Amino acid sequence: MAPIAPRVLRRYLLGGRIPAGGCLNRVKTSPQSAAFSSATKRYHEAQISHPSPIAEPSPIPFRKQLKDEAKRRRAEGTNKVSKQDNQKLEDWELTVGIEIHAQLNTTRKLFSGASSTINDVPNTHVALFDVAMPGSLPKFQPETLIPAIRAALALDCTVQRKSKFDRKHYFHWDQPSGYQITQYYEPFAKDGHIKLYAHDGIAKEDGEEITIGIKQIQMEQDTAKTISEPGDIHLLDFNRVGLPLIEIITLPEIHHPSTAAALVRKVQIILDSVDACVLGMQSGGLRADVNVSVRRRDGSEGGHEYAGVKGLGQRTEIKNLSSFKAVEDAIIAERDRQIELIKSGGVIEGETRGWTIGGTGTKRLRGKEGEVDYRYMPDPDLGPVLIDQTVIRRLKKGLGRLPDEVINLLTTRFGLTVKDAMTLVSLNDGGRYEYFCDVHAAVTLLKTEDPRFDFEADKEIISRQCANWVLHEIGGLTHHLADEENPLGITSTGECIISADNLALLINYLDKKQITARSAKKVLQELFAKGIAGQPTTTSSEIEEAGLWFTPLSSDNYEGLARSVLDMKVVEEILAGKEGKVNFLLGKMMRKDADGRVDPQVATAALKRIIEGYRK
Amino acid sequence: MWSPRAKRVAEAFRHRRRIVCTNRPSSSLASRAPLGSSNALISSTTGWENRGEDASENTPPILVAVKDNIVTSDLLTTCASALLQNYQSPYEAFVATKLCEKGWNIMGKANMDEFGMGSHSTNSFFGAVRNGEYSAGGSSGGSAMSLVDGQCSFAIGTDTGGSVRLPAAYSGVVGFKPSYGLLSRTGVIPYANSLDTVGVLAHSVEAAHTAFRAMNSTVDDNDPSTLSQESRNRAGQVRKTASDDLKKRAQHGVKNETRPILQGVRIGVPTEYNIIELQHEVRVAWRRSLSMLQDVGCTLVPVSLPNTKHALSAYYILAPAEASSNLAKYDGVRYGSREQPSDGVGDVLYSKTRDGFGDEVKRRILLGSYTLSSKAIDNYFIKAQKVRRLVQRDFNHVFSMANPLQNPKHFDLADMDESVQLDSKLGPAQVDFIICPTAPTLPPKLDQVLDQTPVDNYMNDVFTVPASLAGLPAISIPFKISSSSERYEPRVSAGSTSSIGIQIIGQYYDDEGVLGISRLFEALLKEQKGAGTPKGCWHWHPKGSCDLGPSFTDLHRNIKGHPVGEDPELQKTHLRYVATEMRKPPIKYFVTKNGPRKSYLKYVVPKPRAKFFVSEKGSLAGKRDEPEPNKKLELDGDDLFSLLSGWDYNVRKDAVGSLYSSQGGKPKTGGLPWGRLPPA
Repeated sequence: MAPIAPRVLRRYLLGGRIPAGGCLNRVKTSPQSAAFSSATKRYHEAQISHPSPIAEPSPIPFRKQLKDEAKRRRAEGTNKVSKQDNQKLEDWELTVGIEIHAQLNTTRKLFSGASSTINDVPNTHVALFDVAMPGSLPKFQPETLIPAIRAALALDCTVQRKSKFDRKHYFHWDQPSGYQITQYYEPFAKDGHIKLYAHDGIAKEDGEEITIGIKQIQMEQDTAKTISEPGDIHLLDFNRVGLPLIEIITLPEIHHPSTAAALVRKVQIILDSVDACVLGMQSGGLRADVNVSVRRRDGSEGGHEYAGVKGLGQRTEIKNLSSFKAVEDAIIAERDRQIELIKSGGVIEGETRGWTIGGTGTKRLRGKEGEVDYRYMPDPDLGPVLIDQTVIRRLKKGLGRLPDEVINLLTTRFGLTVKDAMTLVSLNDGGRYEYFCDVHAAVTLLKTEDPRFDFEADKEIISRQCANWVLHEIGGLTHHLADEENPLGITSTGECIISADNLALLINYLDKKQITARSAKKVLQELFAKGIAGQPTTTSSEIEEAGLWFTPLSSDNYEGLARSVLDMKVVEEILAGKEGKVNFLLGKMMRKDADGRVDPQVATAALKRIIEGYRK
Repeated sequence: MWSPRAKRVAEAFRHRRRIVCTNRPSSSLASRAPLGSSNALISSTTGWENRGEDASENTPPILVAVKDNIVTSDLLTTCASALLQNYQSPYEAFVATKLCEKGWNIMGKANMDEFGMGSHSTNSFFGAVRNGEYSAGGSSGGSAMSLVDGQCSFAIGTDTGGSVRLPAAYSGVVGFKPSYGLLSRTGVIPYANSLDTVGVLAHSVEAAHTAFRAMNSTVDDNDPSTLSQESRNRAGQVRKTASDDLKKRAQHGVKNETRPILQGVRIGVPTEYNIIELQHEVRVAWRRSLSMLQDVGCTLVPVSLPNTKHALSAYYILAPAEASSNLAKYDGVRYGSREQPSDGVGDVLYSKTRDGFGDEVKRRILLGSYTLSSKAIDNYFIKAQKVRRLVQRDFNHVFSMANPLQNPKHFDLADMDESVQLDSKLGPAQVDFIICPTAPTLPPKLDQVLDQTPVDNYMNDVFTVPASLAGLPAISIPFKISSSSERYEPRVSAGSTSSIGIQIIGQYYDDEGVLGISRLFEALLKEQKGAGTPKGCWHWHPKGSCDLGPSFTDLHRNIKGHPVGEDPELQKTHLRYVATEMRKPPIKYFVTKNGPRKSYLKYVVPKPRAKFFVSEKGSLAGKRDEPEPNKKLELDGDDLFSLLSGWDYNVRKDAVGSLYSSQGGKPKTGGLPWGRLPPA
């Protein structure tokens, strides 16, 4: 999980009551803090408003306030169905189809040689065709096919030998030619599917796994970016116009809201893993439209057919959902709206609806009568795209392992938990997994120096060790100079501020008891700090420098240490039979040992020996 | 047509004409040169006329007028539209660059119908082009008239459904439309992309040829609809096979010392083009042209292009559909203006932004938007695409040269229209070129044009549209009606110009062939003009019926396409030739093993020659020669075929369906151009 920015955190914690100026200068119930309060509510999805618990000046400690608030929230929560339990309705069946738009990872635009950039100076990468100069002609850039075909293969689609481009006409200022070039009649990939597992977060009603069909994937152009400024001014950045997108259209085979969200999330992970897509959903590189319809489970079948699936109810389309949560929430809200409407004798209209983040219901954008007739027409400038089998074979070969395959490998062969495996795969665009592999390989290599090493027997232990360090130990590192988003600087190829070799050495030293766990963490922090400062270093030199090599304490040392912590009252209790109190003393011993050299077992033995000495 | 506002703007604009060419003879901003009454140019550079006085210059500059929908980086490009009246393109069209590279000078931008939509060059924001009191033809009327006015050596136009050939016919000049995909469309503001072709207007075929060669000298990689060099090489191979075949055929005839090449050339005469509406003079000129060609050894073959009657309707669905899409960009955001200050006033969703378009453009945008709408597309646009395929197929059936854009195909005779006359029981005759009139009438008077309904206007394109739909090269040659021949050809219809356009159509990529025969035809016309009444020609009878010359009688006696000339010597040769031809196996056709029943008969358009033959006894022998699928001419990404046809369908003859049912019955067609057949 990405670190939460302090500003957000401040709103989130303590009901937004911490003023930026610090606790001492607290202003009583300023209007601003009231605004924070509502923001907090949104963050928690608490939809019932309640008076702020600290609206009146009171001496109640913060901690109590928090507890009270949590308690009340729990109490309120009992009246509300949680999202997890709101997936299935007894009498109604929900049907959802999704269209996902993703920006392809290419250097050029779809139909011009202008380069694709994300954050360059506006209107600096624009060809004549991009702004629809009269007389300019499109020029298909074949390299845009590479990420598109990769995406199609990763989603198990059949790449068509021949595909064509069509014009979709609509008017908007961000569309200079008055039409978007897309693939309507003959898309380049068809008939795929995507498998979702329980660990992907599908609704529990869908069981362990579910397969959702993909009707087609088509390539199309992006529009210009509108930058809105105060005073009803809209600036247009044509750098984005004409960038290649793919639109992934699923069959209407999804019946639970969280499965829909899981599908969108999974598509993003898959596209990332094959390097087809530029940005994640949260950054705007991925957008989803959902089609929602409901029908009674017992009653007669609906009279509508979408993508060959018959008997469905009238559907509505919710456009432009930009987060996974929005997908799920919007579907639930739209489902409930449709059911309410049918129950009250109304009829669902085929219409386009919108959803605002944090909203409670979908909003009608335009009805059937206002529906745009896109007047699809084969583009008369562009010939068909013919994709040779050899290209597809070649790209298939270079596709690499898909996330599902990797998770399967990690859990079955390397003994990681599904949760850890998922985390490894999803962090840093897969870079965390790459890093893990590097560390794992380096540790294994170091272990082979030991003649007793048995790869098959030890690999799971090594994996768990490595996973622990790669996920949890280095995940907890902080530094004031570190990048907020990615403090470890892990790239998608697995580069990291702490080199895999250094971490592997550290794990190995620890495993061979050459340093203690406490020292290891210290060394790790040092490696991190030096890494950020840009100073080259090695694990062994750090250990050397800090003098952290583990030298076992002599039994005299142990006894001395033990005697120094002895408390006669406790000793008597122990002697009276409260054996557990030994651990209390042991803890004291451990705390006294700043270097972490105390071996608990030896220390316990020393303690017991001394205490036994008092038994007379 | 001339709204007071348009008139004002046009006047204002005329005074803004500028001198811009860098190699211009005079660098001062001269006032507008007198442009004559034809209103042929929208903007121009002046001072060329002074250049001749410069003693140091030996050769006069070659001046070119360019239609105003081809962008130039120095002169404005308006498309004769109010919306683009001040549009200065930031780049230059590929063809314009090619002309300048040659050292030729673009002297002006020619007036036209707004965005190329029209047949008389009257739909211009800058006023109609005038050919005296007659129509100059459209939409490249300005290009034609600037040539007629002597302002340039040749003119560049664009031809979507006849926009170069029709003005050429009406104005008495040569107008050549090359095969679609040869000349780059980069910088040509599109009307209907799948039909738009850059064309040349000139006083002679040779001049047109020179200009065409200059623009076709290199392949434009930036135009996706331009044929790539590889495709050109392949198509060149197909053409070579065909021309070798023609040469071989020509050797069978007599070596006529003066023009040997025409000996053995087969000229197709499309019977469906002989429509009732064909003006008498036009029919006469057509007939006379044919007879001239026959006299020099050409073989006249009646051919059938049964889907011609649907071509015009299909064109007026496809072109407006593409136009409505292309013009979508003139939406008031980047081009055009907003009439009302605020957006979406009242119940209207959009601002009023497209009022700058002329009526014809608005009409076609509406038409195109309708035929593309989800309710209508199946009945109109898709049907029209199918018709387009049928029209292409008609031509492929008829031409002896294979269409280089297609793999060799077998045609099922059962799929052919019943009206198609068969050469033998094995299939129809095949020809090298088709000759027909360019327009069914002489140029109408401008005031007549203004009284016409839009549909009447569209009718002028009936003979030019089929070649456009099929992407074929076609040329219009002026057939001058000399005053001396007046006694044979008294005027019975309106029209004052002294020439009629004769159109020569060739197979795809046979541009050189078309230009070649046009040159010879042009020479023939000149010769005939000097020689008075041509030999072997018909004579005009005031009663209105025609006395067909012996050559035509013979033609009908030899319906299989082996006519005999009038000249007894030639006649003998022809008979000999026919006899040789008849003895040779008809080669191209074969019968399936199920027997020679018509419904099973197949014939092959492309080449697999000499694999089949009729044995001495007359029974059919030989085995079926299936072309190996995809071996020849593997289609690839730059393949044009699908561009030309737009839609991949298995077309059958019932594809036309209900599209034309609203038009009330079949168009009237009347067999061969010589009308009623004499008793044999």
